[in-house]
Amino acid sequence: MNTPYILASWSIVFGVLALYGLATVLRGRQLARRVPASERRWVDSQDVGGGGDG
Amino acid sequence: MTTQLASGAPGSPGLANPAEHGGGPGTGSRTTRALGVAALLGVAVFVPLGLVLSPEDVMQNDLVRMFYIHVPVAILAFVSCLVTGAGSFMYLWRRQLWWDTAACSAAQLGAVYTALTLVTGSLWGRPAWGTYWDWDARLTSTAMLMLLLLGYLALRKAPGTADSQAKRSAIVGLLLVPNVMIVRQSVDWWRSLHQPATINLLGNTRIGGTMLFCFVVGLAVMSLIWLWLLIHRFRVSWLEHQIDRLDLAGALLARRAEGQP
Amino acid sequence: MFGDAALVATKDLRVEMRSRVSLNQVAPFALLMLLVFAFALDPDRGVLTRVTPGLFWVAVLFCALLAIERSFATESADGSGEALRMAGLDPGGIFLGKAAAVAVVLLALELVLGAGVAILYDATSRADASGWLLILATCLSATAGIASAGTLYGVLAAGLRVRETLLPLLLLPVLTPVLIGSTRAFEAALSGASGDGWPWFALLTVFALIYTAAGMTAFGPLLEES
Repeated sequence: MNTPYILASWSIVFGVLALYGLATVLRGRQLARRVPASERRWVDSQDVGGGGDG
Repeated sequence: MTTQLASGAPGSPGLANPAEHGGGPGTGSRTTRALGVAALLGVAVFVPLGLVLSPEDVMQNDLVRMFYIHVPVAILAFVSCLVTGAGSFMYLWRRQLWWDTAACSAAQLGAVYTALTLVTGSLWGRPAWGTYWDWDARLTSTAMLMLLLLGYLALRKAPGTADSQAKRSAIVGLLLVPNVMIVRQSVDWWRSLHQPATINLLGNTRIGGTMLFCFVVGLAVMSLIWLWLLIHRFRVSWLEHQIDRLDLAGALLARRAEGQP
Repeated sequence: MFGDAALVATKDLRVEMRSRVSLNQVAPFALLMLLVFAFALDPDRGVLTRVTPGLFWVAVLFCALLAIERSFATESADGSGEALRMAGLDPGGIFLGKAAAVAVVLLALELVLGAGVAILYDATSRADASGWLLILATCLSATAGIASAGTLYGVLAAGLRVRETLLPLLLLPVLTPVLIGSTRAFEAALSGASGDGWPWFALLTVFALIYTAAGMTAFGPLLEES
């Protein structure tokens, strides 16, 4: 009888976090297009092919 | 300011395409990818463990399943606020933008997690006490924390130079945790006049064995997700700063070029 | 530092005396609120008398928002903020002075509101001598808390285009303890059980001290840039 409440709270938590994560990643991609990789210090050297410090 | 600048980004002309700049497509790196995979695997373990496999509690019946999700979310909401406070303090001390960005990202996550804490708490309260809301010290101060965080984020959105904005925000961010503690204390005294003890959701439940295991797994998995979100959010804020800086430099160059015939 | 504080406070109060905005606009607004509460809550059932402490302090908080806004509007309007910074005054002193001026304005408004609730809501009939003492003490320390926290958040929001909307959002959650404490103390005083109210007076005093200290520390760096 408590199942609806439990399912609701679990799905709200994971749903909201997934949406927030998705929005953050998409926004990051959008912004990254305007910033050269040398300014993104987290870019792996492997991805860039030389340059970047991980 | 920042958001407006950035939201015009997709497809706007004059911007280099990703291939030209090189690098990964966004805010990901090897570390975050590893974190993300670990978090997803963790969720795959945690959800069946918490929802199906864990035994029902003697006092709480199946409501103990609320505990596995609500408590980690609440803990992480508070951790976010502590990170905001620490980042603000470090910014005021060292005056490095890095700390300000960290405080800002943590506050955003804090708002999300506090909202989730309130929602899951209400959904737990309804079957447990028969009401979604109670003017209990813990609930009330969590709601006030939410409002304080919203105020902090609104202040961050207010236009201004990066430096002055960071300074204002750092002072508000530093006062965040003390404010919550003062509010919490005063609400606690106020409510304890009417009801002797705060409502304890778990009653006199003893946590042990499988339940403790489930809780620890849940806390670990939720922390991984939190860390993944924090890193990505931090990098987005960092990119916003860089774009502001690049735009400013570009505008200065353009202005100078105009001046010289 | 206290000399600087006195200078700033007299300057602000003189501006306030000359412009008469507090007298001509904020005080009528305070009385208007008392009437609005009466329209919303049925005056015949004694509801107003019972909830007087809460209504009184809610009205004070709203008036405080206006007073704080004014205190910084005068600074940014004619560039006298620049002048204050240049004058070489101690930042802690400037903070104390501005907070003291706000506190004086607020105390005057509380006097108006107090007379209003005493007459209109018939709230003070059960208060005895010790109750009045508690009311006086509560007013003083709650006002000190509101003024110091308000001045700190006021300077944070000052100079921003969105300050009128931002200040209430920042300040009201912070002032929750003051609202709780002062309302409980007034309830105790007005019901003739003033002994229950003194712990709340202690809470208010602690709040005022914390925010005075925080404001004096933070004012220097904030004033540099605003």
